[in-house]
Amino acid sequence: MADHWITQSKAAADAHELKRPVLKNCIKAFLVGGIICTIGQLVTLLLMLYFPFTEQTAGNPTVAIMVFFSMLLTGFGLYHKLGQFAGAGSAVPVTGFGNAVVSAAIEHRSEGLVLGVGGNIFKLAGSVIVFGVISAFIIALIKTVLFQLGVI
Amino acid sequence: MKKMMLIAISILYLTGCAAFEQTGPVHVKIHDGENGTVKEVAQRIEDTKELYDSVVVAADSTLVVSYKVKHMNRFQMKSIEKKMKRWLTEKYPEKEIVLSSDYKIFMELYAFSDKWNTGELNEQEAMKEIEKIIKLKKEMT
Repeated sequence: MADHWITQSKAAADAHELKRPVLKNCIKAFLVGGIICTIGQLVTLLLMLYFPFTEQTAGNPTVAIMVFFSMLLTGFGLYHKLGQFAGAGSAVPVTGFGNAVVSAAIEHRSEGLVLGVGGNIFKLAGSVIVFGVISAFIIALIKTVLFQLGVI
Repeated sequence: MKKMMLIAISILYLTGCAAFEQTGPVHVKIHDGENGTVKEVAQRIEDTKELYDSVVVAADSTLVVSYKVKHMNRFQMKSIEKKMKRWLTEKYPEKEIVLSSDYKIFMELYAFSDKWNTGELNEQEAMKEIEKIIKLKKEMT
């Protein structure tokens, strides 16, 4: 009896729910993510033009600079506006990482510096680091084994 | 706000284009007698349809070649490099061969060729510059 009531009310609720504009969200995410990556490309180009970095070595400083940019924007309270508009488009590039770190730090600032900021700063971004390190380790292991066997 | 966005996007677009413009093939020979080498290598790059724009610098001990890969062929960059490397090492086994499709190396070589052509450098300084560029190319991190 109760089950019947639940399915009925769920159907009634579904009828009133607004449809998610999936395609529109995808396009927004695509455009904003693309613009972020274009800015990253510009940073790479500037590093190559004015500093002794090659295409190969410019990658790491570019990532660092992009993370720094998004940290600044998060601190000024601008990044969440972008996030609201673009969704995954602003979270998937490496800028989302900086945002996750700094927003967690700001949120827990009231609990003190050590237990608040220090304890919670990697609350969101910690999993990125953990799985990044683990997957890098596994890939390196596979590559080393293949090298030793002489496959590559 | 909208105007600013438009300006920013167009600046990004234009700078992006400028990087991959053809600056023209440049050939430099440091020592006399490398004329043939330079010509052969340049011809080979011109014949490879995946590549455009090249800088070839030849000295009697080293050969530095830089080229740009056409955009849609960038997926095959590694195999193109391998092929070129094999061809060059077979053809000039007595030379140290440095081959690069890196844009930075291209720019450095281009600036070097400008300096060389205006006569700013003597042979020794030129070799030093080339060594510097090779060192930059070998950097991994």
